[in-house]
Amino acid sequence: MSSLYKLSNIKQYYDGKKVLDIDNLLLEENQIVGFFGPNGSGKSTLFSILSFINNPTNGNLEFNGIDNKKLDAKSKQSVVIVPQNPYLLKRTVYENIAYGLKLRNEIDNLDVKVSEALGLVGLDSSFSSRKWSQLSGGEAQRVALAARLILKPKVLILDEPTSGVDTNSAQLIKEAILTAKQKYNTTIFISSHDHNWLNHICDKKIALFQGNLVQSSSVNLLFAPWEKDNEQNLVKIFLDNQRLVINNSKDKKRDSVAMINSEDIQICRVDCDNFKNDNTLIGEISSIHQISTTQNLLVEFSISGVSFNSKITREYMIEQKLFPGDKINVNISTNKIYWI
Amino acid sequence: MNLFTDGFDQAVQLLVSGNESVYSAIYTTLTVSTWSLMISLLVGLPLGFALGYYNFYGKAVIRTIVDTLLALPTVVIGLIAYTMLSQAGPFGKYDLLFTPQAIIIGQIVLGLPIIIALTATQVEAVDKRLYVSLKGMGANSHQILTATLIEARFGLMTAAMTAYGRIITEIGISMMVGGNIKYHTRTVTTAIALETGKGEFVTGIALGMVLFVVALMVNIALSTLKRKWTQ
Repeated sequence: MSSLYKLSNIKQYYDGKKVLDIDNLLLEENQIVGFFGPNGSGKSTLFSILSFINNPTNGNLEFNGIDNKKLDAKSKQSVVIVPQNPYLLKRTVYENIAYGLKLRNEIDNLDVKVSEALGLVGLDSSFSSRKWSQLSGGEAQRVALAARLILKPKVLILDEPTSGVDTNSAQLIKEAILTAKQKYNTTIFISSHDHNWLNHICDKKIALFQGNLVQSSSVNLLFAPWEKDNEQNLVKIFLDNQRLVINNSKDKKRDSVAMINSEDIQICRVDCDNFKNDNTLIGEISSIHQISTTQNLLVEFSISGVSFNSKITREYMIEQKLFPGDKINVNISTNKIYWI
Repeated sequence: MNLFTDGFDQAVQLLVSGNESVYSAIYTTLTVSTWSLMISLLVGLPLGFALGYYNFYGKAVIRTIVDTLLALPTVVIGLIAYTMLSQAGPFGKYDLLFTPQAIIIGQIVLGLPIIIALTATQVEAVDKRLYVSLKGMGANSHQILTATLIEARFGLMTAAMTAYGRIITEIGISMMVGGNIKYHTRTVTTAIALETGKGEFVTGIALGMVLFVVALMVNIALSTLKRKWTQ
């Protein structure tokens, strides 16, 4: 697999404030890469650079081995983005979907292409005559996606495509993305706060925090607010009143963010007497899937609605008889937490 | 009141009978005002887009000048145009004074700031996500301009209507650079002033009705178009 994007020392400033600072990042072709991180972490800024909407203030960006300043219009047009809360033109669905092709002067068989694009996002071709104002939030999101898929892009960037859409729309968006990858060999970058959704669709996940690349693997972020116990250590109190005390965290602030590698979270379902301690939490498995390129598995689970993942071996899964829906004991190695 | 109702009745008769001087004034008015509006739109839309869309040094100053020009009295525009087009002026050699073309030039000066200012306001009000969407689909600058103007079409229609209303009802420019020459540069408004001065109120009311009907037709056409676009 070759590198499609190469970012070196990329910095972006808005009004003198640094909002993105990436030393090095390689993004490979024909992959689905998920970006996650809290609001303001720089995901949208990074996407605006990757889609050539904005140039970085400093640093080098290469696309297909060519400096972005030397890219021709056609190369730039091969990258399309569906922004967060996409804007639909005040026209019909048909005109919205056909718009990109008209920009490129590719006006042959428009009716057939529009119909196909609508089908990709699970919308009937009768939708094509609807006005922009007659669509629900989920339908508008899917129309915006169809308007990009019709272009058969080399790179498709989706900024929080599932925010504010129903479960059905989220599923249809996921299927459309996978189809695009399969049919058009499209490289796809997605940002989302929905870790489970990202885990199901992405080949790789990248975390961003305060404009910095945190880690390009399976990582868990545990956000504020934190409480302080009698010894002034930070305590995370979950909605079901389970408590996770972080030892030796007296000097940490209540608005800190804890980063925990998936290797540093241990889980246990059977014969857990020796496993349990005062800091053991109870979680519920939501999914188990194989990590690309390795034989290890990633167990997705939630503790009172907060998503975590833990890396285990196939043998351990069989030994522990782990299945989605199972309640598990969770130990987090608090001494290995990285604070950001 | 009798004067007005009698005048109204007679005005209808005057229009139905096809009075030559009345129809000449109507023709001149519609011709010059339509040309003025078209040229104002052609020049004003890109300039208004640039003023509303881009941030550049001196933008605030230009905006203030354009806004100030909105309040410029038509008689002052007429006076300036007169000095420019008279034999002593820089454009005197073109012999444009007291021609319909002179009225068009003056009316463009009147309509242009309205189109520029209102277009800039409409473009500023366009959803900021539009730029990201268009750019993210690979649109170039020209395509972004066109699409933004189309998105702002409802507001731009209002701008065009406002400019047309101001142009078609002005009298100062038509009087000063047109000269109110019968069958040549006499417009509806200069004719109303003349006829009223002569005590011919009936003709004045007839011409006033024409202006009203034209304004009504333009409004109905645009409202229908707007309804068709939004439904």
